[in-house]
Amino acid sequence: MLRLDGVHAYYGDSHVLQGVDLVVGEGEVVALLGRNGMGKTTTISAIVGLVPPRRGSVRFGSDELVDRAPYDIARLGIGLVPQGRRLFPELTVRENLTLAMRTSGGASWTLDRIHEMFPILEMRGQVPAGRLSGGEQQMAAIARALLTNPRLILLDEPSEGLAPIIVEQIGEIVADLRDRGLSVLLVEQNLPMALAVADRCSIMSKGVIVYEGTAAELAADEEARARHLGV
Amino acid sequence: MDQLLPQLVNGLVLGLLLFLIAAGFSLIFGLMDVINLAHGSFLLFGGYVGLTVIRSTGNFWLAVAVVPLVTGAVGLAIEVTVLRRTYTRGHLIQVLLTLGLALIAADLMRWNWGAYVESVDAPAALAGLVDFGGVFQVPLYRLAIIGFGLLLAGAMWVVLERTRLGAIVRAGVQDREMVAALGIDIDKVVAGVFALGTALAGLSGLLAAPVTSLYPGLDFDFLILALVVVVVGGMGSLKGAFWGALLVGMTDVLGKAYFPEFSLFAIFLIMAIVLLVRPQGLFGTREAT
Repeated sequence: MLRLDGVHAYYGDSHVLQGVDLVVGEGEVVALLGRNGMGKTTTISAIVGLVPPRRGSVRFGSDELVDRAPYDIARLGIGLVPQGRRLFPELTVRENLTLAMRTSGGASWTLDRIHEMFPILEMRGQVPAGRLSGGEQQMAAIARALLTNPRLILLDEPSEGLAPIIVEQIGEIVADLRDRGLSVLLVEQNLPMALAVADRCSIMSKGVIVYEGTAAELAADEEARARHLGV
Repeated sequence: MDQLLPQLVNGLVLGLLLFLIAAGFSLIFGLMDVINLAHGSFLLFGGYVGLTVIRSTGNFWLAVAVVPLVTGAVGLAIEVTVLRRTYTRGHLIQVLLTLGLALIAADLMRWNWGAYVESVDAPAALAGLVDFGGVFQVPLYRLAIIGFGLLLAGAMWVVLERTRLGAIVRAGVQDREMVAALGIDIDKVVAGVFALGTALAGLSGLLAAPVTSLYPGLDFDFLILALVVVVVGGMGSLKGAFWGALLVGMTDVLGKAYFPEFSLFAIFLIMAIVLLVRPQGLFGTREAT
């Protein structure tokens, strides 16, 4: 469903992505792992057009994404849950959610269904999003992306800065999304969480993919984990 | 003491008039972070277009409908062709560009509408005086200005705070990239805000015209008043523009009544005091630049 071929991207003068090849299949959860600064977030930004690739191709279904505007890419059915959540802090939780609501696309997420899944977001609906706890903010960011009714959701470090019990909750949410048939590209530092929910894992180092395998293979491959992830 | 009530009414009238003058400027600065020094030009242009419509049809209300469409369309054209290119380049280039546009517009307007003072009659329905218990009289149109100003403030508040479009616009102020990543064409929204701000400016210029008349140089008088109001009220805050305008209006009128020798610079005195005591303005969240 999503296919990156030889994607090169730059941040200013630094050549961050140096030919990334990556595939996320229909209904699949792919974890993109790697140490800090290896290009994981830039890969996400390249897919959604916020850091336009200079070379290579990003295909989503039958559409080429390179050279499309970010809003256009999002409308094709790609939902972004960015690093650091990036909620609109001065808007209420409810405004954050309804802002981007779209009915097109595959699934049919509505505000009611979101409130069913995340009752806390309904309770805190009138609160400025900046005043939510980290875990609540993460849920709101996921909910906001779901309400655009995407076919593919990009999660960039959803466990970052959260307490272990909350990370577990976020993991359950991701698993739930997978069970509902959504395709997921998950960037994670938290290896146990990634291994628990992912079908396949790719590891990035210095702007290229250096390892690919199923979650079970990576879990069993101590050498690969030590070499690429330092764990 | 019997002079106080009429002065308060006059202060209210001037305050709401100032709010009309400053509203579009405040909207554009607050939501787009663009300093539009051509704002006064849009006001005067709106007044002149209204004058032409009224002279040829005799219908003030038709002018009220036509003027915002014309000035909004001109604003949209300017946003799409030139202003859009300045967003990533900082305020200095915006100031230079919009000041240049203001100077060109001033000459074009003088060329087309002449250099004399043109008065605009209030609509017939709002002509005449209102008597306050035989103590003093106020032209009905000036009272209508209070109504226009309150209506506009209310409408702007509702759109910004209570609609999805308003939420998108406010979200865009905070994180434009993220808004785009959610599938919203933020460039179009920004262009729409500028068109709306300039439409508002044109309408305000027309509504102000029966009080101020129209003449070359009024564009820069308007601009300075708008700047004073937003500096006092707080850069980019609608609430600030509203209360700032009332404070400046009241001070100006009361100052002229009780301390006539200060009348020329009363409003600048307020601005200076606010800048010294509270540089971000009464309701501002960031410092004046």
